[in-house]
Amino acid sequence: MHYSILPIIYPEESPEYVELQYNGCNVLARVSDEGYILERLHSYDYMDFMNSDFAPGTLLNSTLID
Amino acid sequence: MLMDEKQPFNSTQEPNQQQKNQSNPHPNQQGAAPQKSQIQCITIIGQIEGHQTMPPQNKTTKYEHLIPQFFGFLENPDVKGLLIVLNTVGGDVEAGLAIAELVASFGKPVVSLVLGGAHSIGVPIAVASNYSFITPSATMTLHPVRMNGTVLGVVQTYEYFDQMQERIVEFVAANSEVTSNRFRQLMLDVGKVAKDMGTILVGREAVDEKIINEVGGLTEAVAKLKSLIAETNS
Repeated sequence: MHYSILPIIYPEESPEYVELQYNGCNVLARVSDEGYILERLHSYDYMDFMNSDFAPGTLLNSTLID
Repeated sequence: MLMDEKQPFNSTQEPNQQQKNQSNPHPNQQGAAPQKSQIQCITIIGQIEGHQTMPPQNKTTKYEHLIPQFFGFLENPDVKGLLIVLNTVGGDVEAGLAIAELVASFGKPVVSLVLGGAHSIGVPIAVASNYSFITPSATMTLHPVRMNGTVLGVVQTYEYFDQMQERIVEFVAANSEVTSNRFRQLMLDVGKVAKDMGTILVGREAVDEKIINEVGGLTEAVAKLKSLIAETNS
């Protein structure tokens, strides 16, 4: 259910998502031209969510991807 | 890599960057260390994303990321209060109400500040705090709920809509001084919003309607939060 002043906009094409192991955590990342962008963090440790490097929208460091 | 073998993120910094930081220290590093605030600031921006991911070009607030953060702030003894800053167009009803309920039941002082706008489901989030502010130029749009997807053409659909809308009306009425009848009246007003029903309140008008407590900005919001924290500690 939608409660916003903006109209509902459907994307023209769906972005590609991948699940990765990133610095010890499972993350859902979106594939972009710049690289992998963190979409969602999967963790049971709330302290991981306090870490700004795991914030959604972060460009993932390729050296930390398993 | 084992789950507990997480590398510190700054270890990937280039050596040249580290030298640069040492040769050009931040002004705060030259004297006393900056004092860490007891206040945590949370921003509610863009669209509030719900059970479906929004397109990537949208700015969104991801409620599933906020929920454990709220828990972390509650558990952290160094965090004495929250400042919620809103500039949102609304979004998913249940995600918005989830955030609003977290704010309302937080257990430490919370002050909200509406900057730019707190529309639609942003209204319950704004009023859920202990005290709310709105800047003079900020707006709040109150309008009926809408739904996409397959809608059955039966009377029960209207009753469902009404039930969903009442969740919002009752929450706002319970967490502010506006009555449910007046809030409903504002939501269903005609002639004020093009191609839609509802009311747009600007700054002072939201205070006059008793939805928001006071007109003010960042200074006023932080001062109020500090006074609430002091009251809690005394």
